[in-house]
Amino acid sequence: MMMYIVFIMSVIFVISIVGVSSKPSPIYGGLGLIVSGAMGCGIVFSFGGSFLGLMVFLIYLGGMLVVFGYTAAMATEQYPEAWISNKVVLGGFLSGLVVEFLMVLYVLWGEKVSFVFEFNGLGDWVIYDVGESGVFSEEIMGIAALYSYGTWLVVVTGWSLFIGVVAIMEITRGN
Amino acid sequence: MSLVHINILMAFTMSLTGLLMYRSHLMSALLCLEGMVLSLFILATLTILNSHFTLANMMPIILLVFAACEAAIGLALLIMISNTYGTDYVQNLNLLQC
Repeated sequence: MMMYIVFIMSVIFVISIVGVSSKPSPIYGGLGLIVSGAMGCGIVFSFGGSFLGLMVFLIYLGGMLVVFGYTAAMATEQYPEAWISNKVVLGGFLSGLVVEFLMVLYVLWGEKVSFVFEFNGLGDWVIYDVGESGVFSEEIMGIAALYSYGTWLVVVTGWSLFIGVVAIMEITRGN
Repeated sequence: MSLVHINILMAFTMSLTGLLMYRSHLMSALLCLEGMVLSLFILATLTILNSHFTLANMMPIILLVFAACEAAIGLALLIMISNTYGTDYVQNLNLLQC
């Protein structure tokens, strides 16, 4: 069962995204995004990307979702609806679960799914090998290349963050 | 391609469906947008790690930066709507009557 841990994590990822997308009260949507962020981080860890997985936790959950949580706490109502307290939300959640489990059963019954690409179950175990990489992790070397080959990317993203801050200050100026 | 990719694509599709169908809060639509960005990040990271495309490992980080900008501007607009109308219900956004 431990072999299928990545697949189980991706199923929990989809279930919590369905929980966000069936739109309960926003504070519960934030909770669903936290669970799906944790599962996504686990999937990325299993593929060997430790830096990018921790970046999900740090930047995405610790930065963006905290801001969403504060804003949701500011604009919340007195009796927030959970997934079980409203029939519309529960119906949406259950229909999303049904679609997901039908897809999982279809994939597990036939070994191959061919939609636009060809997905097969054997792809979980095949790792493309392009030669040895020595003592350095490829992922870390690729991200470190952000500052040598990707200098222009850093300049563009830094400038767009600065313009984003200026735009937000103009939006929230009011009057 | 592997089975994990199917599930991530399914999560992206569910988030897209949730974004396009409104209920009462505008904040829920912004959360569905965040779900889309998260599933795109995971999908890009898995594909790049699996194909050992070393230089493209910086692309998910750049995606996350632009997603943070977008989320911040979306939240600022939500705050101004909440300041004007008191709540963030989408039924208040009825100035454009056509």
